[in-house]
Amino acid sequence: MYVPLTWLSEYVTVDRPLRDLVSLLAMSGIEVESVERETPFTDHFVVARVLKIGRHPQAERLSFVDVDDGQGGRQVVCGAQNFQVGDRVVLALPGAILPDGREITEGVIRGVTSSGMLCSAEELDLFADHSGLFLVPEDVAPGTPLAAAHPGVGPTLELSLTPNRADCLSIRGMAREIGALTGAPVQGRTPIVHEDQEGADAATLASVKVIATERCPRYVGRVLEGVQVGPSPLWLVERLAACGIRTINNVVDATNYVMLELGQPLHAFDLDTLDGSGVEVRLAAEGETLLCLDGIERKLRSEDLVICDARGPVALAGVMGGAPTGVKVATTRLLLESARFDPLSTRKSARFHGLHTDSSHRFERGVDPTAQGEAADRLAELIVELAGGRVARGQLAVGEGKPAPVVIPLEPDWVRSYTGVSLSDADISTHLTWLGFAVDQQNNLCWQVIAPTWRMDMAQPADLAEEVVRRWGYQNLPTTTPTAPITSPGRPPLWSVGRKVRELLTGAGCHETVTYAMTPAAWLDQIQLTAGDPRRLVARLKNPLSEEMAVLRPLLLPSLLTVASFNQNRQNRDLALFEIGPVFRCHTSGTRPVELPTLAITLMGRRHPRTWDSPSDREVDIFDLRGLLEHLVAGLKVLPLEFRPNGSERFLTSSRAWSIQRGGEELGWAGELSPRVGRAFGLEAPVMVAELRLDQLVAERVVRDRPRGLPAYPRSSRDMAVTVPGDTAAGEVLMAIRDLAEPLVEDITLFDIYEGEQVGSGKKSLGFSISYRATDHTLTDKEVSEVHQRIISLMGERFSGALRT
Amino acid sequence: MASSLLSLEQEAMKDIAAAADENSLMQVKARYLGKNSELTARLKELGTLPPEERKAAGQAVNVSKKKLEELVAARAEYLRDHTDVGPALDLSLGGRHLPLGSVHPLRQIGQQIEDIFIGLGFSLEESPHVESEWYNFDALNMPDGHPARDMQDTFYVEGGTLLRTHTSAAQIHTMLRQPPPLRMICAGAVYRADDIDPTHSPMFHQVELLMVDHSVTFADLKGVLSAFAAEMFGPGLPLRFRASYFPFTEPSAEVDILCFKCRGHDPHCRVCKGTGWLEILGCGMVNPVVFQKLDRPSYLAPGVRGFAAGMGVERIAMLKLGITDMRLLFDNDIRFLRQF
Repeated sequence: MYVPLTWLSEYVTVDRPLRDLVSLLAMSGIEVESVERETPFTDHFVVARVLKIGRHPQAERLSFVDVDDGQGGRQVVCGAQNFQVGDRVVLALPGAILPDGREITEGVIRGVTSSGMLCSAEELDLFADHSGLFLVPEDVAPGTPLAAAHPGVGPTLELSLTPNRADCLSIRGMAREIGALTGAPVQGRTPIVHEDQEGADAATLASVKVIATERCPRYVGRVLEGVQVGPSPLWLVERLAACGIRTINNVVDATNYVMLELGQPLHAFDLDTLDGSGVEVRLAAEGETLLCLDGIERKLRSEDLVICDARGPVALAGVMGGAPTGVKVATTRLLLESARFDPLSTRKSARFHGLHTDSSHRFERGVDPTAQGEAADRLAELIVELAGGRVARGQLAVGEGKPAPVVIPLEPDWVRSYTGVSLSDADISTHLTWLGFAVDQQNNLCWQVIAPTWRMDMAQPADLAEEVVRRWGYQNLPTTTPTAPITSPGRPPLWSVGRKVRELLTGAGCHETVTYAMTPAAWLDQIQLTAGDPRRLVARLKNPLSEEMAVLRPLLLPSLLTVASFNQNRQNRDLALFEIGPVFRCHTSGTRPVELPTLAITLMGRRHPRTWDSPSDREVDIFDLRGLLEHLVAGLKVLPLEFRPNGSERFLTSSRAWSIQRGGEELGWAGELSPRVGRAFGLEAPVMVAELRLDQLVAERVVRDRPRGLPAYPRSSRDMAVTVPGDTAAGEVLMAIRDLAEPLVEDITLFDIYEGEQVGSGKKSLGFSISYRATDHTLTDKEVSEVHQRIISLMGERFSGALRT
Repeated sequence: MASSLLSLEQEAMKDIAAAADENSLMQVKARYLGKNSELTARLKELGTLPPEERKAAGQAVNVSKKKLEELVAARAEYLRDHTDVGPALDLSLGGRHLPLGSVHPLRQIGQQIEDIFIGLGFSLEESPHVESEWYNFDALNMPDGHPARDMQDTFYVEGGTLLRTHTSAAQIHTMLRQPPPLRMICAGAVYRADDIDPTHSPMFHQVELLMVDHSVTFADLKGVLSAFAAEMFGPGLPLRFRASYFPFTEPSAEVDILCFKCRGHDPHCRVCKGTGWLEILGCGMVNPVVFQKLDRPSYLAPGVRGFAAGMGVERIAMLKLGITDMRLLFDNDIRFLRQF
């Protein structure tokens, strides 16, 4: 919404500097996005008279022009053609700064000196015009500053309005608002229509019928005859341009002008093109079409509200008129439309047909229900002024023009207690009165407040409380604190888990990432999910920004791979990354996805920073990954995870992959990324990846009421080296010893694995350190030996193992 | 004689200090304190002295002897220290580092906000990312066709749901779960169909706040937010309310904080762009229409009212960290992450 201050001043006197007005509006809820044309034309812009026009010797399209700038002659190179010797033009002298920021300098254009620039209306930011130079009336003396000869529209506010303030979508509406805020009276004027007393009644010339009365509660028509369509005067063109509307002709411009002035969208039909000389407001029949003013034929739906003549639709109600019945140069008889259409109906039609017009914008937000008659008269008045013609007697009015006002009960005590602002009754009623409300204080505990007809956003006491505080000044709001009992704030079960995981993983050198939940569908192929993989049942966006963000991620892995690739391409290939976030899975296609809290880890390159004495330049392998996960489990104090070798995930190298389980439940997977998948993401080095369900990870915690006491009796440690067949899984041997559940065995560590000459080919040696302890006495050698022997026996029986000697 | 004892002592001290290893120290010890040393000889000679000199001379020799013995012992300890620890080290070298990780800056700021409100007694609530239209819009007084829906470009999900456009839906979930009084916040990702640029992202993060109680006021809301701002941005920075519009609050306000960088004194301030104020969040009193939509008698009881606020985590992070391009927060460039 644009508000030229010169236009505004016809309604209200602004008594303060522009900057103060802008901040007052901002505090009161109307953001001024920019002030256009804020600085008037400087003295570098003057009127000049064309003395001589010569063709540029080297450029066909350019001419050099001798002008009289009031001080004398000067030569300017110019590309326009629309002027003659003697015309008054606008000259920007060297040093002038054009509205678009360009500075004019003296220069040589293709060998010809040009000391200034002749300006078009567009270059002066007056209005859009491609015909050439802006021409000034001939009675202006050369050398007159442009600011004096043609100041233009002047400073214009560009407003950003919230959807509740439909009443501010007009110059008069903004005048009311500014008047209310500053305490300045608003001048109104009633349009004067000189009806043609000798001519026919409007009702005999045209008819208006409303069938869909719920969607069109009010329709006011006016008939004009003998109108002469032509170009609009400069002042009108410029005001419309300042408000972002291009001139079309005097009649159409008048409809737009009155819409901007009063906020009521209007339309003019060429009455002679209306079959049956009248209109009917009804719902469209499915399949009816309308060739709109933008030249596009639209297929209508049965829920579209349309204006029809005897043949069919002539306008999409409140959105756009039809081309065949629009105003053309030859038009002489008009049917003017000033109506009120249902906001939701207008919005749905506008949306469906992809049209967002100045008219639909206003109807969607609501128009003053009492303004239709006035706007029809104002339009008739202006058209007669601009295009001549006679106004036929009477309005063609359908529906109620003065609906019952909105009355809101308001307790002044409640206003004080709701806002926390101590305002007197008189203050409250004064603020409301200034804003156009009528306050009936007969019952001094509970008033009856009547909202002005243009405030469609007023419905309840809270709305009035805002109005009062708004006018009083939001910036004055006191600062108090509520009193509330001390409580223990609840926290979601996984909240502390997330924090602990962050603490443990960052402590172990990992960096947390945050990536988009919307991902490309192609990633599912890139990680080689099979056609039947349930993770392919993704939730798809109906309106993604691009194919790159089309599905909600069913796993975190590809997001982290993309981050790894991004960093690798920036010469950072030593990466330890993790992300905590939801993944989205659908049970069946198209159903609402479940959101699973998930943790993913990616390791690549070296784990330790490279220094003068790095432990090694070794790159990460799956045991770094597993170690990190086991570190996490220990730190979270949850029951240990089982790492089952499992090559079923196709994005993992099958011989280096685990399924992570606990008690038969699958929590996730870990392993080395398949090099094929790595290459698909542009990753060169081996990448270790893991992903597991955070909620399942912490589902089974180590429960311990109190710390165990310190042992009272000493430990006895023994090592053993066992030779077993080379394909024996060392972890299983360890598990088997644990499974013996010997009460005296306190701890078992696998401290060495050896393969080589000393054990013979096809065999390997496992070194275990076993510590023994009893809680109630010091162990004897005999006791330890007995248990140790049982373990050795187990080695032999289960694993064909032999004690190495 | 006393002077010759002194020179002997000094000579011995020099040799002890010069002994470079344990072997040579033993030789020095033997030379000055051994059986054939001069000190031993002198002790033996004491008997030959006249009785009146004997006592003083004996004392002098014993003091020297004790002193040298102590020096030898100290030197021995020193030498042991050095030979035990191995060869000399280059002390100019840096240490061996452990890898240092980082919590993402958005999470750090989010956690800070959560902690502040937990401290004020607000519970933490959760709300789904994939949401129904009713929770995201209708229940918040944005029925189908409401122009306010245009303020938020929504991603729709196949199957009739959408990605939440704000965390405000958590207000509804929480109020349907429990009766008033309540104090809650909800933090998390929200989604809007905005193209990625320095100040927009199709996914960003919000923290929602809601308090419902009998006597709370609009001014109390300012008090709670002031307490938050003092913790977040430092004490002594006033808040400023500006009138605004959200369908689910009435009255509504945008909240500015006095620029923490220039406190309104620098017309060229890069943080506040010379305006002196920084917009940090939106808020208001819960619109009674929202309570009505809940259809819960406890929220319709006379006097029940509330206030709500919503803030953008990226916005606060960018202000606090001095970041001008939001994309940095989602690129996950390790060079950036390492700084946190």
